[in-house]
Amino acid sequence: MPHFTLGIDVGGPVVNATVYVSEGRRLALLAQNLPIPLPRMIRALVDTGASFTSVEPAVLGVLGLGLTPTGTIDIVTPSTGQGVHTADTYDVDFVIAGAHQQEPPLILPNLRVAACDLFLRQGIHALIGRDILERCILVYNGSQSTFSLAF
Amino acid sequence: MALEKELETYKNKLSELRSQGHEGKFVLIQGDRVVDFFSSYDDALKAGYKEFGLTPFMVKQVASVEPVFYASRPINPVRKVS
Repeated sequence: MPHFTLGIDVGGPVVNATVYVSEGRRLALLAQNLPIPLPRMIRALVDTGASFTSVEPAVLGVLGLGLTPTGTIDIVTPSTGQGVHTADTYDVDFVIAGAHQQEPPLILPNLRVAACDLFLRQGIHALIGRDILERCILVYNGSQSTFSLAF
Repeated sequence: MALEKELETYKNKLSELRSQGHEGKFVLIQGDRVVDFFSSYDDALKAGYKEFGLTPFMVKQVASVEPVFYASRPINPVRKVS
């Protein structure tokens, strides 16, 4: 089973990830002779308290996705109080890198992510939620300050 | 808001979609038109891009009770103003 182990830093279990426009959108852009936006490298926090993966709108904007969500979801967070708020969702190809190039990355094509301001102020651009973690085995080794993802 | 029309179409036709046995399927909607149903999000998305290109469309899983997602951190859901 492919896996990688990374260190837990001050911000928690953080991974390097790359966000691409999805294949369907790439083909649609090519059909109109439009340029394919460059992928965006981000830092993403593994968050077992999030049921859905969220990405900063600025990252989606760089990918040219800001104008065209392909869905919505309803979310409750401490910042929304008791109420349910709706977020736009976007389809992206999401790749989570291991510690070394030799380690196979976790590739998630056509991943549906919610646009959310994260307010984390730690250089974090995304929260990796349980929609991704349900495809993985997550081992959090606090005593060794490491965590592992197998997929 | 973006996809406002598509959301309205979905809400207006939800009971009809359920009675036709589409619960759990992924519906592709463009404007006020229900285009087709798919067994996976990927298939619906691919069909949407193939048929509509970069023109807005919506993919949504048909559900009698709208699922609510949770985040334990104080994040702020964002909707695009169209």
